Amino acid sequence: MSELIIPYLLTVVFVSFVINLVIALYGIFARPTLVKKIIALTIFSDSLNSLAIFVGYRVVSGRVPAPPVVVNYTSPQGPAQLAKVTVDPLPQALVLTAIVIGLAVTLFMVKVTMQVHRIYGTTSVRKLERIEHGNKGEEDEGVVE
Amino acid sequence: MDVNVFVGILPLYLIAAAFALPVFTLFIKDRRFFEGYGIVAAGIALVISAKVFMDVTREGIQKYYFGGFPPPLGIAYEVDKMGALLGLVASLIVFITTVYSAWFMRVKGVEWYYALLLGIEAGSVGVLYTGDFFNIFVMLEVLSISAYGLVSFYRWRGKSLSASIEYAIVGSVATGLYFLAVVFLYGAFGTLNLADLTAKAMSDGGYVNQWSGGLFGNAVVASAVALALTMWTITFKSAIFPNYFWLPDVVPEAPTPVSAIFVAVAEVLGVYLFVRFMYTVFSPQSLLSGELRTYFLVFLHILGIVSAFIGALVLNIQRDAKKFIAYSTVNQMGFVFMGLTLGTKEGVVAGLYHLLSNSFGEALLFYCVGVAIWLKGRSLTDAGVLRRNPVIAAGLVVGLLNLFGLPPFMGFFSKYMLFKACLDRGYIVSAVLILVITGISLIGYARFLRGLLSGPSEAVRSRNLIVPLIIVAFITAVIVLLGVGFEYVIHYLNGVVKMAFDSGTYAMNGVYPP
Repeated sequence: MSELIIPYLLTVVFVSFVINLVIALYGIFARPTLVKKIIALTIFSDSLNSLAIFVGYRVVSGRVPAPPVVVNYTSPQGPAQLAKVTVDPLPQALVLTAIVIGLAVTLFMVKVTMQVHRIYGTTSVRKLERIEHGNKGEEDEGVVE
Repeated sequence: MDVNVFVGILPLYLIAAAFALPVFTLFIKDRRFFEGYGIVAAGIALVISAKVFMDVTREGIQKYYFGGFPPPLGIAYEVDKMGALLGLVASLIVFITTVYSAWFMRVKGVEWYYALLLGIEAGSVGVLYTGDFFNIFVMLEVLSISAYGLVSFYRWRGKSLSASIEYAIVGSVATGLYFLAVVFLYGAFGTLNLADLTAKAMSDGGYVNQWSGGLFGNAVVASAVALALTMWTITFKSAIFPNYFWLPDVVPEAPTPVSAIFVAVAEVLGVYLFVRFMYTVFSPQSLLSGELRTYFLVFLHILGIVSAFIGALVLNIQRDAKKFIAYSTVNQMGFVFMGLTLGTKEGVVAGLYHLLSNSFGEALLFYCVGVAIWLKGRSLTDAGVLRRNPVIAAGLVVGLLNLFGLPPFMGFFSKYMLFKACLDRGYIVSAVLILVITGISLIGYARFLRGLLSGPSEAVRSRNLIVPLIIVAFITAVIVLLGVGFEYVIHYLNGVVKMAFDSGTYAMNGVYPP
């Protein structure tokens, strides 16, 4: 029974990640508000990260996979034995890096959005375009003290 | 393990220099200190990258293993001739830009500006030197975050902020898709090391590494999907249709020296990644040989043509000089990709040569336009103010003629090589289109020249122009020299491309024990 259920469940998880990615892409490119774009972007990166964890998952027959921590240092076979019953730890390390980078980017974008709101009084991309189309000759670059 | 310390130290040194700079703001408030710091730091980086370039030219591929882990276990850096050459170009342009910035930037908070500038250099050098495709992702993000920050550097200008956030959102999606490609490649090949990946892709399952094993699942489909996702990132970085739209929005709103970095350094990375993935890793001898690879190349060739066409057409109706240069870049990068996607060594040589011509040419235009912005403004007719200084005016003329493609300069020889490579490959339509598109772009370049020659020459402000004069003269000399001595340059680029096409050597050098 479990031979059928586990692949089925794994497929459901995979498909839901892909659908999540597509929805997030829709949110990023179609929603007009910058805040919603940022939220969609976090959904996008979270789906990517979960997908990476999913790729590192390994089905171990008959039991729950062990955490990838080497405890038996003494025998040379210890790590080799452990590798057969654990999930792959490397995607988790990759995801950790990607999360930290994503945090920095999100923080930057939130800060810039705040500044945009302070200057223009709106965060809607369409309104921003209209405002910028109105005032052209703003060419004070580099000469401001 | 014979390693070259300079390969490993350069990106780390740049990141350390960038992070150390804000510490000094606690007790030093003088703007000149930070300018000096930036110039010295970028100058040391230039010396190290020149050393790496000479080592690679003399002794072949140079390696460095972080933490001493034998590859594919740790992060391995592996520099071949292409990485060393483009790394030298990148650090040269960044160094020149730092010197130029010391003249150009007269706003508060330059310490953050130089920190981010060093961050951009660290990211680009890291991408060019690394031999680990997850590290490419990390370094792309280092580059991108610094670039987002620099675009919004004028944080009181609404236009800069909205350009920055647009660039940040689209850029995060592009790098996110590259991360997805990394995951797919890791799932299929069980490795993050480019050399190990190359060896496995070449042998199609015959090669099993003692650490990372062999292939898992359907590696052909996985690598095709990963390559398709990577192409999104590559076309984004190099501003190829349909991902070119950010460049004309972002570049005019960034500070002018940073615009020069965008068109001269950031564009290089897309080209590097394209050659690395399409010709070194997934070469014609790899498991991705045959029709699928041809489809990829033909598709990107068409995108290159469309990109060049759009750039040339929209170029003709620009009034703003910085937007003009941005569309000119889109046009030139289209030509570069037309060469790279021919699938022949000749085509890639032509593409790389055109890339060098584009990098120096567009950077030169930005340095000249920056002077015009200081003296007067940024429309095309404001360039007339440059007539007051004949050297800078001559530099602008050289830059424009080089990008259009007139004989004594690089642009002519690169377009000629491109034309010849297209004919040799049998792409007669592409060869004709190169001439047609160049003809269309003539109108735009001629308008800029007319603005320079007949625009009003009265300056609004006055400045001492000795620093930009030296920089413009230097880059003009580089363009003329690389154009006049094109036989030597082509000879060297042939060696570069031969090494980039030699997947076997690249794989052998990166896998331990060899």
